[in-house]
Amino acid sequence: MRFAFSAVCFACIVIATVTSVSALTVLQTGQLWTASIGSVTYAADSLSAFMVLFINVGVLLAALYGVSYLAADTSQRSATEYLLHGVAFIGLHLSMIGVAISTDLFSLFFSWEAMSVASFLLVLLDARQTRVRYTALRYLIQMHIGALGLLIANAMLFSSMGNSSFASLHQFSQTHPVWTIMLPLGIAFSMKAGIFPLHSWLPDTHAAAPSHVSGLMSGVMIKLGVYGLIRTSLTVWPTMEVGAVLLILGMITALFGIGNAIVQRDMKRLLAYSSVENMGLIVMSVGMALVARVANIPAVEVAAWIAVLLHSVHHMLMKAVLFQAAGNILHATHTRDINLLGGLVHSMPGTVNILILGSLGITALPALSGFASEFPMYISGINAMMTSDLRTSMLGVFSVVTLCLAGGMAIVAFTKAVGIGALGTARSSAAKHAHEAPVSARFPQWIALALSLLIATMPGLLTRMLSGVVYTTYGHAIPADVLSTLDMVGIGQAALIGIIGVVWLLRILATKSKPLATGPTWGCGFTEGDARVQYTATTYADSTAAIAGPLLGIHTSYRPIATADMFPHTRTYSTEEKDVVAHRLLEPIGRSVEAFLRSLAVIQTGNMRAYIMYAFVFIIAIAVLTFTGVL
Amino acid sequence: MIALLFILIVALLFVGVINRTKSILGGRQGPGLLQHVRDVNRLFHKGAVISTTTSLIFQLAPTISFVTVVLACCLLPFGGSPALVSFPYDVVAFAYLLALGRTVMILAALDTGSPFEGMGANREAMYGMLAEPAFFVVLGSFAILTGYTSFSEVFAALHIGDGIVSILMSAFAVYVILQIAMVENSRLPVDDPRTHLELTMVHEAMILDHSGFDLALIMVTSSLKFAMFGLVLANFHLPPEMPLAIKIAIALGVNIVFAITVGALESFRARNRMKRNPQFILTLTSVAVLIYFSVLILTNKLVL
Repeated sequence: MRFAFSAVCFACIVIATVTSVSALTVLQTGQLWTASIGSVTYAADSLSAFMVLFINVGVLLAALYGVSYLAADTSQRSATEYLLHGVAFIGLHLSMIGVAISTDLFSLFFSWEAMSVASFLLVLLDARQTRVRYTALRYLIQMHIGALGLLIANAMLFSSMGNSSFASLHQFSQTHPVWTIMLPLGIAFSMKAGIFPLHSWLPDTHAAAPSHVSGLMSGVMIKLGVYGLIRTSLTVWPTMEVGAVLLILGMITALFGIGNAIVQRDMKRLLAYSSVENMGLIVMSVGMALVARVANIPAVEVAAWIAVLLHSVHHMLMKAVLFQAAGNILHATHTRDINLLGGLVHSMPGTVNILILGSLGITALPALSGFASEFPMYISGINAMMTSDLRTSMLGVFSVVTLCLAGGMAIVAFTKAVGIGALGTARSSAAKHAHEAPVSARFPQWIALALSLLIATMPGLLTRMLSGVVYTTYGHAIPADVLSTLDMVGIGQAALIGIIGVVWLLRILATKSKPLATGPTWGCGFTEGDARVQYTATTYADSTAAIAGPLLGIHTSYRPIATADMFPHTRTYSTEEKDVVAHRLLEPIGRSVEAFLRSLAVIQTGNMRAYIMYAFVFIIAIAVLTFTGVL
Repeated sequence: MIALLFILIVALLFVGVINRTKSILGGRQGPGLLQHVRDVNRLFHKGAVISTTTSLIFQLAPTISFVTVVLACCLLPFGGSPALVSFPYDVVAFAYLLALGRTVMILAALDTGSPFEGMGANREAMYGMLAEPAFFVVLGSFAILTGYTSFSEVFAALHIGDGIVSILMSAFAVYVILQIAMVENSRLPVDDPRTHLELTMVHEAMILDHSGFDLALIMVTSSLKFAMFGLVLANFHLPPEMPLAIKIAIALGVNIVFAITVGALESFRARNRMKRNPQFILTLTSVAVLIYFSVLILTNKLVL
């Protein structure tokens, strides 16, 4: 079935080429691209064009990986399953482009729905597993709660304006309180973007989806939620409250997401929670930009918009790298449990090197694109601190503290993913006998890493290329000092890599003549240690869990030894990480809704005679009502 | 350039002064001032034993960590003379360079598959994460106070006034930077370099398997880190208009006092209980927030 997905990949390349040409023209000339299908007009300004390019790169990375991922897939699937998967993949590509170029809320709603359904079908690739079906269904329901928000917004616009174009949205917001329309829209877009407390679908779905799809959903699709937030909140005016709410929700999301990432044992859930964190940071920057726009602090605003663009690109690349590396590991070991991995660096060094680089990138450490994209966030945060307005200054402090705390926590989370998951000694025979993924399954990650390195060394250049996009959101040209600072960051990172290379060479030269012996790891005199003496994913997270325990939803099942227990008997100890919001809020709501619906089902007896009686009663009732003249 | 030279000289002596203080206070003869340098030199010439469990990252990490600290040193000014490299918001680069060094060392520790090193790595990651907000709030407050965002400009413009708020602010700042230096350098009260029990180590546990050239590189890195934070502390006391000779004398004095303080602290008190460490480091952030409020008062943004 390898051929089938190659065809899909080819179709995506064609779509990407065609749309990218138009998008690049828009970015270069700054002129609007428009097209009409029937009465629906699609148009692309610089922001839309950027999104189209962004989507294309993400989809191509996923499609390239998908070819080899599905080729290595050992499960038996029917041709129909593959066909459905391929069609849904192309559908997702087209619908995401559709969202980016919609000019009214109704066509946006249409593409939005297509996007949700297509991604739902993609998640269902492993539908033979009950768990996957259950997760996919939950995803579909949550996405429709979000879509309901869009539908309500559409209905409000249609009833008072007669159409749902963005121009009408602007007029509507001038005559009504801003939240009447921003609340449903905000819920719709935040649900997709995974903003706290609407994030709980994200870890489940990303863990259940096949790896090329999780990379695509996490890297690209959820960014369209942010696109929606930016597009609508720039249309609605004034936006001080919207900005402040997004800023604060973004901070909570970032810290909550990365805190949960630390305690996850499932590699892909860990990555998904890291996506929640990064979406939080991006939304925080959007909020900061909106607040700064109303408060008229250009230095804060422009840096925040640049941060939104750069960080989106950075996160897309890194999540492609990480989810695909996790996919290779999953194929080789058939487990996502970090506690059962380890030692992969010896059995599959190629994939592990990619995983290490991806982890260093996603934690925003210098040398890869993350530092270049978080740097403008710091610029906007520190500048906000320095403004004369006390409120903005405090928001600046909060955002800077969030940024550095989230950065530090990301280091804990990803040293755990790499250090426990891939380094050390193998913790299970599956990990010990893992086989390296083929070159074709590692190639897309190297492309993404190369792009990331380009951004890291030339963030100023990319920002100049995107100046049109910044202009659509910011309204002015980018100040020269911001660009020169970004140039400095790029040069600095190139220098860092170069100097590390030189010192490493010097070290090799200096140690070449020295004797090098190998031996076992220091065990304090105990040389018979096996893999089980190592730190595990659970213990590594324990110190964080001790501080932030209640927020991270760790459930321990263990019965302590009672004083009356004379003789030892078998006992077990296990922990499980559950999302606090899903477990404490959504599941009880879901259960009560289900109970209510079940109580309505009383009339569904399943008995044919009862149904015939219902029809009979209905006819009698109609007859009586007609006879008495009510109808 | 002068900052780098200064760091180099201080780095040579710093650990020696600490050890000498400790031996005098402990009533021992103790090693000479330059014993540390001789130790490092010997290690540089020795061969190495590496664990069969490890991979490339284990050998690469000390090099990366060393380079990050050297580059971080390049960002520091000396009084009024600007740093080798200076650009707006370079304080962020400073913190992130140190974080990069810490991260690769953590990965190297986990690469050995040792239970002790896993423990040390976990603690190091945790403490690094908790100490970072305090650093950013302090430097952010200085940015508000001076209107600049790079080390060179901040320290050139930093003028500690006479008012009670100003003096309190600078005292808090010195305290927070001092404690961050102790956390970053794995010294008391969060970590005890003298301990011989792996279970009570933090940084020492992480480098148990390093030997030879790499171990020497790690020791050089930690000396440089000490001198680097010593220079940050000294910069508080170096008004740019002073003649260079006096500034060098003051800076040396500050660093000797710093080293003696560290030695005295290590002689007279025990390490915090491990469980108390997160609390202790988080307290630094609250003190840093006090600095922020003092700065708001000083700049008349917050009127009491």
